[in-house]
Amino acid sequence: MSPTKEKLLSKDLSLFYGEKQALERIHLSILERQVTAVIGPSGCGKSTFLRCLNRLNELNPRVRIEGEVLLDGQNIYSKEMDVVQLRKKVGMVFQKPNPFPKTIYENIAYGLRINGVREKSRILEIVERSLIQCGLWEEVKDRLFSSALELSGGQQQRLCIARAISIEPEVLLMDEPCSALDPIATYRIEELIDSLKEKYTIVLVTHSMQQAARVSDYTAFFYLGKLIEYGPTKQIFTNPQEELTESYITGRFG
Amino acid sequence: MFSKERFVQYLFFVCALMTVVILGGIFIMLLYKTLKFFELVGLGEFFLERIWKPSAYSKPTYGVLAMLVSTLMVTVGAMVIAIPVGIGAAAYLSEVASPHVREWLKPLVELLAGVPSVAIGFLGIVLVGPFLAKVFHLSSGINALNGSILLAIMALPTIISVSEDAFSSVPLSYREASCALGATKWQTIVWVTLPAALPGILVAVMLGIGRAVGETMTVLMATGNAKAMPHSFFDSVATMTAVIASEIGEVDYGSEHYYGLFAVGCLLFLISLLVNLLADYFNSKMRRYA
Amino acid sequence: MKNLEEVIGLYTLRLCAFLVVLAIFVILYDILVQGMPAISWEFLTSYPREGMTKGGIWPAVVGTVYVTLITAICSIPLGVGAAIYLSEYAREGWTTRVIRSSIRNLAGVPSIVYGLFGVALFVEGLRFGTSVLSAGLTLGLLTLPWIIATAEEALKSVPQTYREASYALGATKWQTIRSQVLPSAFPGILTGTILGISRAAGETAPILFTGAAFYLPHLPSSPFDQFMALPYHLFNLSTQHHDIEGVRHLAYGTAMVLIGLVLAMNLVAILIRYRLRKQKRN
Repeated sequence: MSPTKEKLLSKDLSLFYGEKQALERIHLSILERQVTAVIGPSGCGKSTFLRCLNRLNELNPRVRIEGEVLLDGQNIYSKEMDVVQLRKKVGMVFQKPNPFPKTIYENIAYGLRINGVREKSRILEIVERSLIQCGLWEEVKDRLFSSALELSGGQQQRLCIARAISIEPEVLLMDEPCSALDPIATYRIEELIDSLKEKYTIVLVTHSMQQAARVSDYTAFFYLGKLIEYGPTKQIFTNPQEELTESYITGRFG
Repeated sequence: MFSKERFVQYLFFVCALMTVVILGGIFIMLLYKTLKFFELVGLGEFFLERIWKPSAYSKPTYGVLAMLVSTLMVTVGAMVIAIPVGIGAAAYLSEVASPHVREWLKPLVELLAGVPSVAIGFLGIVLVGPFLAKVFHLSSGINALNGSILLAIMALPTIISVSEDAFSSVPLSYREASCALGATKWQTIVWVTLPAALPGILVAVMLGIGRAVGETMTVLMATGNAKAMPHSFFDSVATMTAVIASEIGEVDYGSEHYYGLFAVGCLLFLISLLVNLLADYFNSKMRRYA
Repeated sequence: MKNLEEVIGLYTLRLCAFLVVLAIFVILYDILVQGMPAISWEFLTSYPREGMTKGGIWPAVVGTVYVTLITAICSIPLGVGAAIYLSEYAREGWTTRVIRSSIRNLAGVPSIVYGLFGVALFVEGLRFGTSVLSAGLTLGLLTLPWIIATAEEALKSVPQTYREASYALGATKWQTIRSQVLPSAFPGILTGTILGISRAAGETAPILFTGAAFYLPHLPSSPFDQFMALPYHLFNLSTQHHDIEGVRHLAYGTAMVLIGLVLAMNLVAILIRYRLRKQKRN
């Protein structure tokens, strides 16, 4: 594996929900065009951490954040950072598939339009390209204009991924993207993640250790709002340095 | 044996059933008196004759058209004001306002809902009327426009609170997905939240229309009560509700005129029923989203 | 460019909210400023005099309280009973659907139509004549759907665990409702009831021809007497009086008392609900 550039760096990142501290001084670097998995028991702050990387936590007014997150060396929490521009660079896929209650075509076209793409032919081209990339094109090309809510769960999730990559972000955040899917749909998403890492830096939050082992290059283990251990996935799963990590991956708790 | 448990259950059931009895009772009563009216006066006259002139000495006429048009006109005017303002205010409350502002504004809107219609009508006479007369150089501001403005104010709390519910019942995940794509707040409201909330907003609009159509005191006081076919918003008008309210106190029991007013009431009832059923229909569409 | 759209868009929404607030403040300000000077102890406690050009509103205050009491007595038990049925007993089925649909439609029936019904049923049918009783019953019907809707909401918000805990101790359904569900739902029911009754107190159209009188030199002494009412009195002073301009200050005073009465009830209800929600959040 060739040494790669650091894409994202969270520096001493802490987060509070009102009085309660949910993240404690997280220091974690995420490498470009690699899949970084974030694992840990539920409630450990892994999703919260993910939402810090595109400032989506700000939709909740009770959240307070300390520390920095650097994207290509620039602090995304600085005053100069335009949050809208940031979210265009850092796309996101959610735990539950959340297509808009519109047509399949409209779901993808929406992101393009708000990013200033107006020509119909160009939109159609990108819709097609994104759906092909996500392996959904063959299944939906005849019903682009029917409601996205008629798709199966796995198809909906791939549509959401297509929606996210249609605007060509640099980073793709995935928040347990397979937790609501069956094994076959999960397998297809994992394949997709593998092919997407050629172009995108991917941060994958997952509750499944097997999934982390299968698709990620690096793994970070969170426990009770703290980053316990970080390293190449192989090392984390075969030779963890921390006792907590070992207990977790061997299934003693979680 | 008739146990206490059973008795209590039947008692409550009877309470609930009373609502059906009352609604049915209202409808049957109106229908009965309306049929009596049509025995005396033709269906054609009621719907084709324009003017309601029951006290004309030689030949009284009972035409509902002018007041029907008046009701529609005042209602449409009110909705032109209340729908955009109401939806805008609801969007502000649900999507833009800070929790602190929301906590103050929502009770205030409820307070507006509590102001009696007769007080709003009074303000139409003493405040809105003179204001309109001055702005538009009219001899009197007691006209359809005045009524529309007042009805808009009366319909606003309904439209705002129901639309606000519709906005806030849109799943957070839609907003998150939109934000994660780099949409701004305004783009998210216009392209995601509003379309998703639309069935609920249509319910709000329907209830607002229902409120405006059925409102009596404000239009009775502030629109001038002139029983003629209106030509503009600066004309005095008499709506269906206003005609009933102003005449029923003076009619003889069992006269043509008496039954005629019930016929007007029956038409009014049917219109509001229709508006309600439309609201119900949109309401059933709304549930599919959640 | 996009930023401009954003700014204009969000300011339009703010403007809408501002217009609503403005309307509320104009209404309250005008009534308060013009009505205040008319208010005095004498105004509140004396009869109208000299063709209602002088004097006070005492009989109208008493009449409104009287009719509102009758409204409350007839609509609260019936409404809460219906709400208990819908929330605790009703199974989904066509009977329940018909009942629910009736309630929704009753809520949309124009108040003047209730007035017509009141004339036909109470005044003429049951021969109560134009009286406090007829008017109170008519207003009772009008507020019924309101009370049912809010009471049912209050009952539904009682956590299911309370009921389960009670059943687990061997309580019957009615015991559970009486001793667990109703007490927990009480503040919510109270809020809805006060709101409904306050709305009835301000209504005019349904009492126009079921019992309200233009002027009476005495208070109603039985439920079968006619009565004066604040909203009807305001209507008369501002449109029916022979010297409308001359009695304007009395009209403002009446409006102030009426709005004060209704809004005070509203405020109490809103405050109860506000505290309730806060409790629930913690």
